[in-house]
Amino acid sequence: MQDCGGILLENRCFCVRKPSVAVVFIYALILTTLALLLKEPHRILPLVVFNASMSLIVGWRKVWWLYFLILVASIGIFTNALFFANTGGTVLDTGFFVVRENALKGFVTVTLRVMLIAGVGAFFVALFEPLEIIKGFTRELRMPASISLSLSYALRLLPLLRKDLEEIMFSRKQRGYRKRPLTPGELSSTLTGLLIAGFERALWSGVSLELRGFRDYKPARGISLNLYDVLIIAALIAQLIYATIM
Amino acid sequence: MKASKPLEARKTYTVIDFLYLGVIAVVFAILFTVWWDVYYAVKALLGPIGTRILTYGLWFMPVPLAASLIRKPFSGFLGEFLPALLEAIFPTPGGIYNLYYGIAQGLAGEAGYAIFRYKKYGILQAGISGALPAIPALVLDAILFEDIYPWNEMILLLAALMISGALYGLIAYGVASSVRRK
Repeated sequence: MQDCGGILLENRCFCVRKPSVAVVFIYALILTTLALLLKEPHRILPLVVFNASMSLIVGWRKVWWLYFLILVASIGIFTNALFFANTGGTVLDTGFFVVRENALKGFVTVTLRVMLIAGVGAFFVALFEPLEIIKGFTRELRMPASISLSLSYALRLLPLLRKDLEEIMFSRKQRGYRKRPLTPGELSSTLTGLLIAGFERALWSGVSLELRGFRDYKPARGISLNLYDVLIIAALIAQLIYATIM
Repeated sequence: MKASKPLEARKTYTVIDFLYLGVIAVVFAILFTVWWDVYYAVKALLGPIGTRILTYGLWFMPVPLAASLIRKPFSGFLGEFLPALLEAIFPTPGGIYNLYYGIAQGLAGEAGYAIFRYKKYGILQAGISGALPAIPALVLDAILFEDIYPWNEMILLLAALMISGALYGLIAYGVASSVRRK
């Protein structure tokens, strides 16, 4: 399959331009903030359904497990609500514990809130690859080129450092230590090894970039909107109106 | 004029500094993922206070580590903000909310060096810079999860988070010292 740079749905590439990174990021940022402000489940629920559906339509393979994780985490949210907000009329009496009105409301509100935050975040990352997001931030949101260099380098380094970490864990196991660091000393020795390996690479990459004149690099700036951006802005306005008026 | 030049050099970021920040970002992006297992394992054994003291400080650790290594203004903030930005552009349940934590914790930790006017990057500053992000972390947790405890328990939790942050700040200082020696 050839990737034409358009939207990828079900492994088929549709050759249309993607929306702008800046517009989708601002969409996600505003709705994340809104999730924290809303307290009534009936206001959050339609937003959750819309955004979770959008993220699953755009890239369910990439994001479905997030919703599974939230399902698991909801047990903790329920315990929390029972502990901190178990007041009001009785809703359920199991014999072992009593669930009261406010605990149930707190559980539903916080779970929906977490789902909305995850849903808009998932929609954002399902639409773009990490490198596209970094390029978009630099071009459209004027993020400094040096910060985008740090992030791009971090992305490039990710598989290498993961391999380094596995090697360190393997060496620890061979020497009869715990594989995963738990005590401060173990954490310190694992981190030192990882950082020394990473910094050695970074030093020579940095020297090489300086010699090639990276300091004078000026990235292209600008933003161009298309139909998808207009639709996303319209969806944002509609959700804001619903959340504030209904 | 002669005295101002080295000071200027100490404040200007080089490409290598940004790449070092990239390394810190990726190391902590990996560690944060691995650390959730440790957090839940400890939580099952020790409860909320013990878990917070033993594990929570790792999420504040990039601030003192980056600042102790790079020793330039805002290196601590960038050290915390970049892993958060990385987490926000990968599929994680926190999504964009990770950025809120990254910015707030980064600024709070940075204050630990700013109050010494960026002249000292020692063990005391690392401890303070590790402890201060506890304040925004507690507030953001309370907003998101509605974890509003009675005030005396809130203070206990804040103390637990600050102790943990300070401990991990000291570890960060130790790691930075051994990396700088190599």
